[in-house]
Amino acid sequence: MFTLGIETSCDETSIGIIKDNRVLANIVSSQIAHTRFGGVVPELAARNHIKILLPLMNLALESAKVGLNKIELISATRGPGLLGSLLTGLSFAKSLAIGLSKPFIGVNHLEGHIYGLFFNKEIPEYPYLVLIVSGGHTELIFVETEFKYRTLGRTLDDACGEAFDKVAKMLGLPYPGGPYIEKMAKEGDAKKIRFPVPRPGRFNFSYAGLKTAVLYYLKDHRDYNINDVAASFQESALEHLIQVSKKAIEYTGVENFGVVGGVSVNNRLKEKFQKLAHAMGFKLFIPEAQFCTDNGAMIALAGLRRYKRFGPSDISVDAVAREPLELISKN
Amino acid sequence: MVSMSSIKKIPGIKKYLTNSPKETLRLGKRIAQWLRPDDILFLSGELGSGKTTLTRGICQGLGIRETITSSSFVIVSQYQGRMKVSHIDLYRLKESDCTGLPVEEYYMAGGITIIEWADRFPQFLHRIVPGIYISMRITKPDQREIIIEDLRN
Repeated sequence: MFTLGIETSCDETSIGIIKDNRVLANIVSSQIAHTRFGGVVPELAARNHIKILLPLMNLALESAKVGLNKIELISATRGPGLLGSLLTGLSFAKSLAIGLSKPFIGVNHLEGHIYGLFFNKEIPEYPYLVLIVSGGHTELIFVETEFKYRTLGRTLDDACGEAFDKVAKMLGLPYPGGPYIEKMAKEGDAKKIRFPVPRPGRFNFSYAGLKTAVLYYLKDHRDYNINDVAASFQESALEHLIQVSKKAIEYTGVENFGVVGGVSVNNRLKEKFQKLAHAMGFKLFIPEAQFCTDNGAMIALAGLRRYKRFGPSDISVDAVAREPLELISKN
Repeated sequence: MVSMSSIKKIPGIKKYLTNSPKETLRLGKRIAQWLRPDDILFLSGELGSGKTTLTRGICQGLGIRETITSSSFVIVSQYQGRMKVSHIDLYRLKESDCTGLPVEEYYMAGGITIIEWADRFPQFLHRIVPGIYISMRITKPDQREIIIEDLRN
């Protein structure tokens, strides 16, 4: 079934086209901003999503070699995310569905990320745990069977990716800072500075304290070594993910574990989780980078799976700023 | 305990020193008691100065039970307590990104609007809009100086 997926929950505008679970096109606006449209997509995304959606869709159809009349299902993110941004993608999708007389389905962004795990040959078996870790989310989800979710823990303050961005800012690095921190960290000594590994309790996460610890360090050490700070911060930030994940794997006894979201592109994260997987004997799933960060293909697949099981969404479905997975969990 | 030393000369300005995130949270809960429908709070202060912690306290004081997380990524979060709260964070925005003020569309009638990084926009920095202006500063590790100017109508 040819499915078009539209993702506009935050900064990135993305369109994916899939046939069943095969990806035919998956284009993110920031990737092509410098080539085809010129300029950078600014932060205040809503107005720019509107401008970019139609040309982006045409580009995706072109690259998938699929005519718009072939599309059989239109899927769009309905939340959680930035309301103005969500509304543009959602309204675009609905108009398209009405115009083409095709079914429409609204998708939860977090569920979309989870389906980022399903483009590989090897896919996780139920039940499994998935860590969603990005600039906007840090959540640990127990997936009992398809569509049945329980959030074991989430951040109590800053998201993990947000901490990367803010520490990068303190170090004078550009936004988004994650990739720069990783690059600096490679040249640094992670054991040089002892930043605390957060311990907020249960299966929750917390990054505000670590962020402030880095700030205090920079204030006290005017001649700090940027590489060592980046490496030491990164190590503590990732170790926090590892410690909570380890506890949750022991608690649930799952044999499959997935990591998705923008931060899962980080190579040190992959190394650390591979090591943990080896030590504990679970199977680790981390999608390739294009399915880790926000993308339209994952929204297309999540929409398709949900459509096949539950049918289309009502056309009046609204955008939501927050929607924990429990709200869409089926028994 | 929150120690208070009001600056006597200018009415409506109060200065507080808090010595832990817990105390900042408690001050937030106290601020919540002063609030009236339609109030806007303008928070400024460097990274790590406790803006989100203070916001969390205000929200808890308004009877919101949900976890109040940073809004930097999503820019705005909305909560329902005794009054509605829009928690806006301008951290990632630049003035040049916005054709108008990026907060008007999130203003909810009868609700409370809390804007972090308000100093990114000169309209707010220059105290043109009536509201409560709060600036936060790190004076020592764990100590924060919090200056509150009540410029409501």
